[in-house]
Amino acid sequence: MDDKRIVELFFARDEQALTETRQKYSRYLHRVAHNILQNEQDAEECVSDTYLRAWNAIPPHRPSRLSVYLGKITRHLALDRYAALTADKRGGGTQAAILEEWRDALPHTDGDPADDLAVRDALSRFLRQLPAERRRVFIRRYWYGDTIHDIAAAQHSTESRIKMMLARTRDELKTFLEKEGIAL
Amino acid sequence: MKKEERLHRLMGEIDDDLVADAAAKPIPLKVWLPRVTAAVAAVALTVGLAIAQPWASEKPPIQNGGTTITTTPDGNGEVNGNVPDEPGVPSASAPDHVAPPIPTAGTPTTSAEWTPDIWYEQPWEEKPMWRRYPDFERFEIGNYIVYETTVDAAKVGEYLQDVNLHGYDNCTQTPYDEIGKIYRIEGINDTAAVALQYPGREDYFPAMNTKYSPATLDELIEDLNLRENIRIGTVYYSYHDENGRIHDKEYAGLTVEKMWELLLSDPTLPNVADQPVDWTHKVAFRVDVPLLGITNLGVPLSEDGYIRIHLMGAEKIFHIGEDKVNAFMAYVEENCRLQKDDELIPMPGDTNAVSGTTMTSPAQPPLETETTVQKPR
Repeated sequence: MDDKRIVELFFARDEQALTETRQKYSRYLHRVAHNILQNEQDAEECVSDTYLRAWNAIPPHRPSRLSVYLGKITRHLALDRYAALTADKRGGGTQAAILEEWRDALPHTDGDPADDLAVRDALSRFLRQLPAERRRVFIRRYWYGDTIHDIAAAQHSTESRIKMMLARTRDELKTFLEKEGIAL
Repeated sequence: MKKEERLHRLMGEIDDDLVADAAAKPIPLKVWLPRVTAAVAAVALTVGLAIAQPWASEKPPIQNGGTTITTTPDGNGEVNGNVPDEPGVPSASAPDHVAPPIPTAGTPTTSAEWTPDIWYEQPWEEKPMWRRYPDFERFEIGNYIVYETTVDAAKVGEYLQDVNLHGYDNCTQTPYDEIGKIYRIEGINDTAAVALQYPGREDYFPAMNTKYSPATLDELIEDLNLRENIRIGTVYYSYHDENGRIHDKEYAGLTVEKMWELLLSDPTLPNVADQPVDWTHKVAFRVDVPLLGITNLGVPLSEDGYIRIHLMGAEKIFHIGEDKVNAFMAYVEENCRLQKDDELIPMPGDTNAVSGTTMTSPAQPPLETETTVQKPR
């Protein structure tokens, strides 16, 4: 079933929307969650919670791209869970490494922290100006949470090249945010 | 929250098209190589023919049949059919669309960059016509969306006009154009819905106008001939129990006549879809309009007495009054057959779920979807 029709079902408060969503996106959402949590059960619970969040949010919200909308919910839920698990000393792995990498991109800008909307907008604008390959690699790493190994395999490249590419992009992001006057 | 954690969270909020685009990736070498080989061969053949042409001028010109490298089947059947699944990468149950290219300068968007991954695009040749050309425009009337069913030919009336059909193959990034014919459907206002006939086909597909906006309930009923065409299904609502679990109740046996009497007895009600409505969901019932290919459409009613009819992106909302909604609920609970009373969303892995458990609960307040909205942050 195409997304437009699934959203129609959500609006009609028809539970078939959940069945169709699960059938179509469960593997994709599981992957998003699992990349962050590295745990089958935790990932599955995040995916289940995603359906409930979507059910409660649509309507009134009408997602323009259902797949990404669901993916964003899953990602947030997984990050929440990751934070809780880390507090219990259960976290680690790729997600810890990703957070460590983000430190390279932190701007040294004085002043009050920019609001979320401004930072989000700056990130999108920064990514749009990147060459396609670098943009995709960056999003694969920091949105989907893919490992360096998986990204290298997908790009038919080497891990060292991908690491270099990501490091360079993080540096450029830091400079971009500083030029934009964005503090975190 | 640490700064890097905040940045990581906000990365999750980047524009949707960027996220979708990153789901596409280079084609695996084993698929890419034969393509390059084919492309090189095609170029060599073209060059060879061009060189040979002056010496073969007495021969008729060679037709290429409109086939180009980008539209040959290699971009469809081979990629979609022969690329093996990768570990952890969905395919069998994957979505049926692909991330479109991002319109930014310097972004190459050749077909060689695309391969099925998280998003999956059905090959053009395998798509049914309604999916190749899912909508069309009627000048100054609106945009019509085609339903995946057919209209009984006996119900198809006079020919109205030709319409331009525009399709796009995301696999090969090739646009396609066709001319379709639209016809009136018996008893249906053509500004609301028509029957579309694709070129070379004998069957007809219902198409609904997303811009269709009746001024009153009566207009909606008349334009879609709902008194004759509507079929009614079950009535259902949801509620939270005392443990916070979500359940639903579903009743069968409501007749169309009773539905008209209880809910739609005042046809003069104006359509208020263009006005802000504070919606708090109370109950819904299912309807079919088989003539138009509408099946299992949920028609919700709100606490405040609104009824919402949602047809292909266009809402029609009427305020029938709180009393009518309450009377409807009371009638259903008293006279209809309770056929389900259990968990609403039994999801595997959901620690709150009691999958398969049938629960008999006392009357509970209905699930207030809008007042309990948890919007994603």
